[in-house]
Amino acid sequence: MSALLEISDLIVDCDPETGERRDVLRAEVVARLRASGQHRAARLVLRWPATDGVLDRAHCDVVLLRAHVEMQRLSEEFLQGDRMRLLLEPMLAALRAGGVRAPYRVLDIGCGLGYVVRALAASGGLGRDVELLGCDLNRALVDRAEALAREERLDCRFVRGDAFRLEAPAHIYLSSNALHHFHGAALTQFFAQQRSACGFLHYDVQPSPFSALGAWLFHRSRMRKPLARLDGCVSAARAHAAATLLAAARRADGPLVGTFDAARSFLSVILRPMQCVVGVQRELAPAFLRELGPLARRLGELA
Amino acid sequence: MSELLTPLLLAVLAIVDAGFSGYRSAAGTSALLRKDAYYRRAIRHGLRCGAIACALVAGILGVLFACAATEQVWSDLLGGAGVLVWSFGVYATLVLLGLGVWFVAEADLRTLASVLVLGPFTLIRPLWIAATCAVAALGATTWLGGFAPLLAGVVQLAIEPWLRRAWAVGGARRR
Repeated sequence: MSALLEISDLIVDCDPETGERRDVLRAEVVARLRASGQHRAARLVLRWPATDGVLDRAHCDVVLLRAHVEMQRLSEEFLQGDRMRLLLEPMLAALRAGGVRAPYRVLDIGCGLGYVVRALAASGGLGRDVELLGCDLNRALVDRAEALAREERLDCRFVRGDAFRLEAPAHIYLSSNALHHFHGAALTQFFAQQRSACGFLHYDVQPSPFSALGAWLFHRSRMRKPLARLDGCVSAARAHAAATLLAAARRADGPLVGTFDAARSFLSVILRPMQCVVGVQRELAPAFLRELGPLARRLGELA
Repeated sequence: MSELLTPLLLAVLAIVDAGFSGYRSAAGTSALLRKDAYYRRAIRHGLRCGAIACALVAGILGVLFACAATEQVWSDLLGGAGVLVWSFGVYATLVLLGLGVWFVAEADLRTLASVLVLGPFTLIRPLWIAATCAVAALGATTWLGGFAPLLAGVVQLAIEPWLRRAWAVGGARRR
């Protein structure tokens, strides 16, 4: 049996160069899910409409959008915007103290509906010299994120495309629940592409003996869309251990790296279901640690 | 007076529970950040449905009681209502404590409240209602005393799926 797969990773395929949407064969998705032992997921996809065996794009987009709306509850309930701001503010302060020229571009990789970017924009307080940007490969998600931001008059932008191929690189890269989509060499490559950034903050689920049960409990009680339930549980099961993330980030030979809120005890697993891989350039690290204040205790060694 | 207090408390608990069902029917259906008004509307919708459901159950039981009114039946009805009030009261107290922590505490404790109380209690709610109503029904000595908690349980459990469907149809328009 191969590694667990998320349906949402399989049903949308975009050309990384052009962004052009490519056809996805339903039978291929179903076969891959069956091969990884995910028979319930395979049955779900089998029910979706297809023409000549190709999954209906509009249907896939609608299903994805609805699942993302529902999965936003996870970020809302676990205060993902606040958790990100907790680390982003000291990092921005370190950039200012280190004489990095403004404006500071903060980019959320794989932003989906852009909850974190929108929450950061809504909270204000990051400063007028900060440009908030979300990026995702899926046009339907990006368009909805943009529409939501416009509806609430939030000062942030969303673009479709590869986060590392935009016209101007970001000063700080962010992500939420994206790391588990990369494995092995792809994970190292993910960090390597941020080598020249001033810093990065990547939150993902904290793997622990309780994370599978916790994820099942949360998704079972909060989610109603089958896609949200299935993918939510799988994403927790695919989450990387802190040591794996640190090894990949350090192999990439970029900024100094440490983990924030990585589990150190039974209680910390319960209290902090998310961990963050923090990267900061060597010359900015002292200022970042100073700005973190007492929170620095929750940050592992930067190396 | 005390004889009316138990059914009255039960009605309050049922209506509050329906209010929460209203919230749950709208949760996860809007990706906006500011959803206070949206949720308030959903909760009010749930409360109204809860009140109507209570009136419906009371009406049905009132008619049946009028046809078979004896002291034993009345005593059974009150006894069953008492079991429901105790059980749902404990459930409501725990959930409200969890919610209280969620609203006032900082991020980590909020997570704890969510993981240990709000999530699991949402999940077991149908089981809690079904088990409590079954216990109350089994304790009755008359058919109406056994039927009343079962009817109340079925109606209460039907409220959320109904609200969910109603919100799915009209919620997007009201958003």
